[in-house]
Order: sequence, then C-alpha cells, then structure tokens
Amino acid sequence: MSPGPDAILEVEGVWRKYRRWERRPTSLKDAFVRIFQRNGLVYEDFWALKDVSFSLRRGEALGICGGNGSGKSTLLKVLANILPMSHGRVTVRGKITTLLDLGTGFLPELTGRENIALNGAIMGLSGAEVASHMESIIEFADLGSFINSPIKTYSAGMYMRLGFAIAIHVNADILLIDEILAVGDEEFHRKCIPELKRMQRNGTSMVIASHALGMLSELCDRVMWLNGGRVMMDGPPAEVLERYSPHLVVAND
Amino acid sequence: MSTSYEIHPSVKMTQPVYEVIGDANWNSWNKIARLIKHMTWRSLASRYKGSALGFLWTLVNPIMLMFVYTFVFKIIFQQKAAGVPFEVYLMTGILAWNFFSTAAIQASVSLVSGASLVNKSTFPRIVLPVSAVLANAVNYLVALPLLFAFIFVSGVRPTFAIFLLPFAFLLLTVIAIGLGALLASLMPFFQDLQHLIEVFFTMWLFLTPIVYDISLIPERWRSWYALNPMVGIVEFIHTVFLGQPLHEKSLGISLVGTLGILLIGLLIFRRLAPHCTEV
Repeated sequence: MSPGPDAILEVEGVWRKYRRWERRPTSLKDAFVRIFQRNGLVYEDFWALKDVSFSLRRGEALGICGGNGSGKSTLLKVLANILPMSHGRVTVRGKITTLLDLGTGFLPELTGRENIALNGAIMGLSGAEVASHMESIIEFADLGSFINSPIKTYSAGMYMRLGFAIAIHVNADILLIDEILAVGDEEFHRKCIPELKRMQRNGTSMVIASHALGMLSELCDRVMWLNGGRVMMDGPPAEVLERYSPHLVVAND
Repeated sequence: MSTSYEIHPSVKMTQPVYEVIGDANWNSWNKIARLIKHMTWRSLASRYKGSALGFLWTLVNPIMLMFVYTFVFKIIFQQKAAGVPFEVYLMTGILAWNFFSTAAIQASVSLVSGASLVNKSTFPRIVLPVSAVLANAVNYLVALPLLFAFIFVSGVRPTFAIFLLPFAFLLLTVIAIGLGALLASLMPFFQDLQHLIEVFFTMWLFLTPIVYDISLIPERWRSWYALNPMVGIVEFIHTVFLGQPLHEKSLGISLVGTLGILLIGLLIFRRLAPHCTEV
C-alpha cells in the first residue's frame, strides 16, 4: 500500500465522526429549552470511519463491500468532499465525478436535452463540453425521439440511462459509484458494465461501493471490506470476497 | 460530554486536509458562473414551465398588490407622499421590497430544499442561495416595464437619477444574497427558523418607508430608524424612480450595512454549509 508516484488518490488515516444525540434538538425552540434541562444536550460520538487508509492507482478499480452502516457511503462522500472528515488526509490528483444517484438534479418539466445541459453544469462541464458530448450522450441513453420531450414522460429505464450517460461523459479521472449498478435491470447492466470497463482501460480510476458481490468481482481489480468503519481487508477480489461472504450469510439470517 | 474511547491513544489526530492537485472540478469562476446561470434558469423554469400564462404570472402579483395596498393605505389611511401620487410611491417601494424579501426567503430555504442535490454532488453550495436570489432578480426586471408605465401614466416624469437604477438593483441583489446565505446556513440546523423568518420580514417591511412616508417618523427617532439598511435602499429607490431628494447619509449606512451583511453571510455560509447534510 505504499503510495507510489502513480497514485491518483491517496487516503491516509481518515476518521469521520457523527454526533448521535440522545434527543437531537431540531429547532431553535428545542435547542433553547434543552439548555435549561438537565441532560438536555446529551450526545455520543459515533465513528463512521475509523483510520481508513488506501491508495488508488490510475486506471485501477477499487470495490468496497460491507454491510449496511459499515461506512461505504460515508467514505465515498468524504472522497468527493461532500462530507468533511474529522481527521486525516485525502489527496486527489485529478478530477472526481460522483455517481451516487442517477438523475440528481433532473427537473421533470424540462426536456431531455435541457436536462443534459443542466446536469452537465451541475457536474462541472463547460458549455463547449456539453455541446460536444450532447449527441454521444443522447445516443448512449438511447432516447430516440423522446429527447425533446419533458423527462416526466420517461420510463424509469430511460431516466437511469440518461443519468448514467451524462456522468460517464464528464471525463473524470476518478469516478465514485454508490450502489447505482444495483438498481438497474439486466438490460441496464448489459449497457453499463462494458462501458465502465472501457473507461477503466482508458485510464479512469473508480471506487465502487456495492452489495452486489458478483459485480464487484467482475469490475474491480481490488476489493476493500469495511466493517464498522474499519478496513478489515484490502486485496484481490477473489480473496476478500471469499472471506467476506460468510459474514454476509450470517448477517442475512 | 463526548466519548471518544474508540480512538486508540497511539493514533495521532491531525486536522483534516482535503487536497486536490491539478485539474480540480470547480477550479474556475467560469464554471461556477455557468452553474449559477443554469440553476437560476432551473428555478425560473420550475415555476413557469407548464403554466399557461408563464411569465405573465410575475406581473399578476404586483398588480394585485397595488390595488390592495392603494386601497388600504391611500383610501383608508389617507397616506400621502411628498411630491408624487401616493400609489406610485407605494408601488415603487413594494416592488423592490418584494424582490428583496422573496429572494432572501427563497435563498434561506435553498440548502434544505436542495438537500438531495447537496447530498449527492460536489458543486460549490453557494450556488444555491445565489441562484435563488437571481431568479427573483429576473422577475423584478420583468416587472419593471409595468412599473415605468404606471409611473408615466400617473404623470411623474423620470429625472437623471434613473441612470442610477443599476446601482440600486445591485444593492438589492447583494443584500438579498448576503442575508439569504446567512439564513440558508442556519436553516438546516433549526427548522422552525422558517416561521420566524416570515414574521421577521413582515415586521421589517413596516420598519421601512414603503407604505408610509418617512416624514411620519418623529425627527428624534430618525437616526435610529435609519440604522435599518433597507431604509436607505428604499429611499434610494424612490430617488431613482421618482426623483425624490437623495439622502446621502442613510444611503451610506445602507452601503456599509449591505457589504457587512454580505461578508458575514458568506463567512458563516462557508463555515456551516459543509455540515448541512449531517442533520
């Protein structure tokens, strides 16, 4: 795990704390009243990430497995700088794009084309980049004549394809993916997985959090197993998943 | 009160550092400006797309307000304004106030209502309150021709002061952004703030010379009264549209107040906004 010069993402000793209130004040009135109560402001610190370290090479795909609440989503959000971390260091040598949800920021009243422009801006694409990728996005999303209709008329599949198509056209160095691949149907997978593999061959690094172990072993060069916010294991997919699977069965019982 | 027993004592706790080397995603003002433009358009579109009258709705609101306020304050309360028909005075102030208060209120809920976006993407959060204000700025500009027509029909002729309109518009926009950013960063933590804010803006309206002339405020209270930064701005609006005398002192207070609110708003926003998804 020595961070070589080709490491595009370095994560060193990252801790992330959540404050768990016994009864969290959610309003001014509540907060005011609590100050005067005995035990009114009792909370407990809960560590969602504990001393997580790893590094990622250019073009490498890292899978993250672990049960619910193991810290997978928190880790992705810390990597994207959506959530501030409590301690630690993250060094990014390039551009990060998130695929934490498909169609975030879509506006149902706008057409597909308008939503591509809007979503492109949200993802940080320039006007020229949006224009140059427009046809390719439309083609990948396979929307046909629907592209000029409001997206409230789209099927769930069209909606997901459009969200995915925009994200993969951002030309990011690092793509962070959270459970996206679990939601789609068979056809969606047939379209997306080869595309992700093609991007990996072209040098895009990925961090993919998923419950779908088959998908992780298919897409990833390495898998990291998180449990209670700690890295249990980090290594070749076959080895890590073999150790992790028994825990999965126990958890499901 | 906190328990950090989970941390092993040998772990050296460092201040968090998030460092991007090279081509970061939000490294240029161009991209941020572009996103602000798109988000402004987004909030305008979400209001007007699919409504048959579209932008005409922006005009319906001020026209109805004009009838109601003119009836109440001119006919019932017999208010007068120096040199101009009272309804013109009223309309000029009310339109500016509506822009300011609606913009600040919508900006204040922008982080909460945009939570799904904030939670899933990496763009700079300040885009949300700024574009909420700018969407209302567009609405204000769209309503201005109506105001000019109304002023003209009432027999008031513009003076050279009208050329100061961009400056007045900028002041309104900046104070709304400052206040909107300030309130937006507090809103996720205290949800009942929303109800307080509405009452607060109603009170503020009556502490500003909009539905009455400032001469009704007793002389000895005037200097306290002018500490409200909106007083100078609204007086300035009256100067710009109706050629009323310029009050340099209260405009100066407004200028300082506006910049102060902007600075405090942005600082608090920068401090609190990253934590807004934790609640």
